[in-house]
Amino acid sequence: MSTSVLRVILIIVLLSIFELGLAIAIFLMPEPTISMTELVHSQLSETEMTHSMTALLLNYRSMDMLLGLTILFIALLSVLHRNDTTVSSQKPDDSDFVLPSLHWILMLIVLTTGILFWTERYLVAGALLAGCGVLLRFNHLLQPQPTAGLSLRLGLSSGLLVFISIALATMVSGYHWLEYPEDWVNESILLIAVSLTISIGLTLTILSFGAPGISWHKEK
Amino acid sequence: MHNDIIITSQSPWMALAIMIPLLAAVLSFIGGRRTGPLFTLAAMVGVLVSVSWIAVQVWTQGPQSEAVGGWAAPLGRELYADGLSVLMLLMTAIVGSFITGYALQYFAHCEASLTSLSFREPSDVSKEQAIEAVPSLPHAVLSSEHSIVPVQEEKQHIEREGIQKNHKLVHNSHLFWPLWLLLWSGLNALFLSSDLFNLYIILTLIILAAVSLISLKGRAIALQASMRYLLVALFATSIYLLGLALLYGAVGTLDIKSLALELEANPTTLIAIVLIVIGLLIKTALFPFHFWLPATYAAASAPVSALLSALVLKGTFYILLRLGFEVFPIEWFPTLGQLLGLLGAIAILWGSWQAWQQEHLNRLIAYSIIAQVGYFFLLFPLASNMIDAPPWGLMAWKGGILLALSHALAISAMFMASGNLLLRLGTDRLDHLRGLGQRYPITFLTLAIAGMSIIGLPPSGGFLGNWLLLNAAYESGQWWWAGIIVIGIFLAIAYIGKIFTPVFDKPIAQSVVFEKTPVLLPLSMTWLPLLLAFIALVLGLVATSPLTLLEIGSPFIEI
Amino acid sequence: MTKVVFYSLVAVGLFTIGFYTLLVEAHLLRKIMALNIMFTSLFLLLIAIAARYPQAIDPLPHAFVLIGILIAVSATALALTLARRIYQETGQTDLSEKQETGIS
Repeated sequence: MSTSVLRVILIIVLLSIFELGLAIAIFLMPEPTISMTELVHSQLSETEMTHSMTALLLNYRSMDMLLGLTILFIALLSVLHRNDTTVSSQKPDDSDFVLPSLHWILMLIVLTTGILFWTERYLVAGALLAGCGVLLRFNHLLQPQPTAGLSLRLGLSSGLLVFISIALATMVSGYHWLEYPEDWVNESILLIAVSLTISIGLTLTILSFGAPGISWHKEK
Repeated sequence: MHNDIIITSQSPWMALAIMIPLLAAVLSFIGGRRTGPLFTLAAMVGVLVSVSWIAVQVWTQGPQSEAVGGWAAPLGRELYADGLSVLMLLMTAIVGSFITGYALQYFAHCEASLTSLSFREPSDVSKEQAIEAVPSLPHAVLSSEHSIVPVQEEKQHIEREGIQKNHKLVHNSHLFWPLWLLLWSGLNALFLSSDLFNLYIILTLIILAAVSLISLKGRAIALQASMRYLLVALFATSIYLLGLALLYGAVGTLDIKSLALELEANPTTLIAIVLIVIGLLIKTALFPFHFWLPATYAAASAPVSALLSALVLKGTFYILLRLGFEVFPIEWFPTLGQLLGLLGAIAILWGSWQAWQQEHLNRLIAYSIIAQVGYFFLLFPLASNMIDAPPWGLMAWKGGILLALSHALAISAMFMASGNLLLRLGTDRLDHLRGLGQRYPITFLTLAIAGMSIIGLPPSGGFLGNWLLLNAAYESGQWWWAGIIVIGIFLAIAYIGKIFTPVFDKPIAQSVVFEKTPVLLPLSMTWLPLLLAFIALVLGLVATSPLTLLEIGSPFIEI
Repeated sequence: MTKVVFYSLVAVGLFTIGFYTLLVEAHLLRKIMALNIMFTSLFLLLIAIAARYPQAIDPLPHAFVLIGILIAVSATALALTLARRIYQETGQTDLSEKQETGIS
């Protein structure tokens, strides 16, 4: 037992040194030599943007957004390992989670999603949709399936597909990569945002279910 | 990067190199299980074309840069390609294409052997089980007269287990294609990126794709190996991100070009950079951060190990090169260089020794990678004297990168050949290779030729790389690195030779020679690795043009 | 500036706590949670740095953090799926049995 206690003490000592070093780094942090804020604020007034971070991302850091979506897609692929036996053996358990006033809650969720979408908080809207999906699962309205149908697969990949299609389309017309044509900035971003929200919502739902597919519960 | 005329291009090839595999992966997901190979082959052609175009553009016009979204750095992102990026892109494309071809047949063969497993003779199983069960018995005992016949239930258990082993891999193998395509897209993005935060996202992408690829095999060992790799890699990335946050606080930007101009040396930036470098070193498996590598690479299936060792390791090495030679303040160079060189030297010695001790071929190759990674890092001390920009700096730069390139070719060939042996024999124990030299000539020839490049025999790429490094060591008066390189060559001869000592022994009684299945491996599985190894072998002869390409945009050409 | 320094120190402290948990705890779920704590603490650090000049809050780290959260969610999902498969295969919830030193 003493060796593991010794190991823990060693770890604590090393980590304290680590922490000290980081604290020093923070205390001695100099003023930044470049002020990005001025740059951003000057550029931002050019475009008609609201204060939403997601909109900022979709315009200035669109490549990052694309990569982020790809990462979400990879996590999705990891769920596809489940074979038939493991998924179908999941019987919906008779938990007490069935909500009597489910339809009110669903209405609220839809309303909130709409508001979020209106204020350009697309990622949050997608996450809320996924939460809705989990809620439906607990109420036995949605069931995990061992395979994903074509429409589900299209929905899951719609975010990436739309993003890539717009990127390819603009490139063909001679713009830089992921540069939106001037008149169409807002429309392109909106299009991407819609598919983004659907895609993220569906993907997060699938990830929470842990199974490749969804279906509506047959009974009821 | 800093002193060349950079052409801002409107050409789409850089973006296409990233988007084509991505699109193909998404389409193959939508299309279903069977469409994987089809989309992969199409993407392969597309990427080869794009990367060749980028190479031509950089060759004729100099470094290329493109502002993503029309926003120039430091506000927006930029794609940047110079000689080094191009060579890395080409390496990924060429090695990736070979591995794609190999993987096509590999998974198909696994499926075929799955069905033929049920028709196997029980006697084959018994001998296999016998030899596996008593690994320490000398071979003289293991002739047919003394075979230990396991109980009937054990035989059936082994058959069932054998079927299960392949069953999981076959069941999941359709996921190889989208995952490999996504990994390829990430690698291309990495070699074209010029922003540290962008690189953080790309690194995470590569990690997740690699983890999923390792876990394809489905067996407990592979799953545990992939989990371990995931934890270590995510941890390394968090260290990197910590360094990034501190660096951003201190400097105000994370764009490589701006950092190169603005980075000053103070405690915060020093700590930040140490963290960033450590995070990257963990991922590149430099000693003492190498601990995750052998278990991970030995547990994955052959095409996956080839991809990971040949390509993914080079990714973080590339980032270290960029940071080390373009961003870090010049005052730090000598210390940083010698430190990295020291770690590299220890890696060479320790890795080679561990490799020499291994009994399994896959683990031997995996440990040898640790030694080979040590070689790459010798580039840092040898090229670090840039203040006067002496000619040996450029030589060391070329030598180290050439070593990395030829390593990618050779090590993937070795893993593929080892995979062939594993498929045929059901085991990769070295003493089971006894006497099989004439039976599988092409596979062993592949191992031999790839081994020659890894050792550094002429005219291979490994030889030319070592020679350039040795020259740089001699000219800069750092003779101790030269000593390490030479010692490393002899150690490599030892562990590569260990593979072959049983092979050319006289074959013992025919009864001991067993194969898992009598099915002949398809031609591509044996010839593709051989071709790849051959390219590594002759790389030393044809390396002049690629090496000149390296000069474009290199940090040494400003005189 | 003191507020920023305070939050930065908290963030770094949380990172170290997560680091400790990652090293010491064997259960896979705890290791995954430890990694989550580490990443979240880094997001806190970035936001604190962004708030250095209260009159002009830097929006770029906010963008980093947004993407970072998305990535962390994906990575956690993948890790959990993998942990679940390991449990199904081996019945274990940690990465024991052979292998060398390090984070396991």
